Amino acid sequence: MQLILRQPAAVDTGDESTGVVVAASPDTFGREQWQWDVRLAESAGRYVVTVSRNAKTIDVIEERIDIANAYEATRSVNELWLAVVLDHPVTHGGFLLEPGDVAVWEGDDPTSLSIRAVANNASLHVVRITRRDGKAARWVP
Amino acid sequence: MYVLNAWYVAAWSTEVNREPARRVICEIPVVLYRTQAGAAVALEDRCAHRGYPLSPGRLVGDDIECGYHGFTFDCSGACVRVPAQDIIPKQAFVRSFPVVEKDGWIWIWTGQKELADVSKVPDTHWMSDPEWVTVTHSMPFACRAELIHDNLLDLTHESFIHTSTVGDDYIYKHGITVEVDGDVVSADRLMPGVVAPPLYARTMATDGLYDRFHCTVFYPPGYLLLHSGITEQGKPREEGYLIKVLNGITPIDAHNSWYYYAFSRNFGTDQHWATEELITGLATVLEEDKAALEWQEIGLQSRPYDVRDSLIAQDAGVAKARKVMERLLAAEKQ
Ligand code: FES
Ligand SMILES: [Fe+2]
Repeated sequence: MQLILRQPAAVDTGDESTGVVVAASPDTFGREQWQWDVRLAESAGRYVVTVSRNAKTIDVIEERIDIANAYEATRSVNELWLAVVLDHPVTHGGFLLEPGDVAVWEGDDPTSLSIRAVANNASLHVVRITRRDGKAARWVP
Repeated sequence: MYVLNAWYVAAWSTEVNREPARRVICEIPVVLYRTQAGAAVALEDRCAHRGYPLSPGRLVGDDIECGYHGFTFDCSGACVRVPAQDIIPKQAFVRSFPVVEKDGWIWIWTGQKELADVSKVPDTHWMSDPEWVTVTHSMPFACRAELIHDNLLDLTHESFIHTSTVGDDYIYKHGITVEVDGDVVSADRLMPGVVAPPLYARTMATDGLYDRFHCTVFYPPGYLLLHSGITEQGKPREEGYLIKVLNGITPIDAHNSWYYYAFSRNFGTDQHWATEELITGLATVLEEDKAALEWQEIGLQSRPYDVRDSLIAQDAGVAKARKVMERLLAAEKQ
């Protein structure tokens, strides 16, 4: 399900060095074998994204996207995408996302993303997660 | 284990008067009454003398007199009279709790007094706003409070439990957007081009297809606000028939909770038959939830420790709410 986390790094008192887990599989502690997690930290006014994964089962692509007007992209239903807003606010499907906010899409969530910069050029840190077995990547196991 | 530094609904305003009333909130016995000037008072319902509850006692002016040997306590919980002697023992006091009365509910702060922040009492203004008409209910649920949180954050159960009132198969066919903002978790579902729920359709005087939506916002640990309604297809939500469902969920103990419920609507407000219909219909909805959650509580009590829920994507709001609750509980334990 589409997930929006409002500036989790600013409110959660996670370990400064590794940051706050913003999405993970498994998301329910202590159940399935760990697959991946994405952490967000804020240091010196800059957002730092760290992805850890089980390299045997998970592939990850990370990309910094600069948006002049809009960023259009299509996700395959088996992929999980995560975007962290790095500097200026953007909108997506009626949601205003501020710097530090995180959006996560998976499964039946919208597959065509259209993210627009509100005023200034904005940039995103986008993480794309796929499972090597071809099954759908999910944040809630 | 409860989050105690929090406001919980203790009672309806109408339930608190010059006759002391007992409630158990997070395993704390509480007696509620009003002063002669009408202010609500909440004291520990356990006499400092030998532990008899104060609630069976009587009010003497603004004070409460224990029914066993007559120790008398003022609104601050200080013992002001011991009938059998002149000296009042130093330790003879009962705990008093901060209270806020607003829009028909009396809220109690169960934690450290100095942390009680009146501005944190949730917004419930719809209950007293003349533009809205409100139907209310309250019921004890024989289940832990978390099951009610989960129930409201995952409304796919409407398709199965509330088939005659607010349910339809189209609910679970639509996904949700979960938003986490600090401690507040919301789960929003938009259902474009569907029929209105049976319970409201007549009141809304609608047929045909509409955009239906519901968004549950969890203000942990004790309040959930459900914004729901229908609009003409493609129209903004504010223009539709709107419903605010206010849910005050107050733990009694590990297996029992109080459910304070208010359903405010901004349509058909002068139609008394509609209000009557909703009073009955919504009682049915609550009874259905109560029966289901009490069965779930039985199921969980007999479930082995190492068996966990198998959460699915529709449980995204539930999963996030549990994390927030864990965090709040951990923070209080430190
Ligand atoms: S127990 Fe209350 S006066 Fe004795
Ligand atoms: Fe329900």
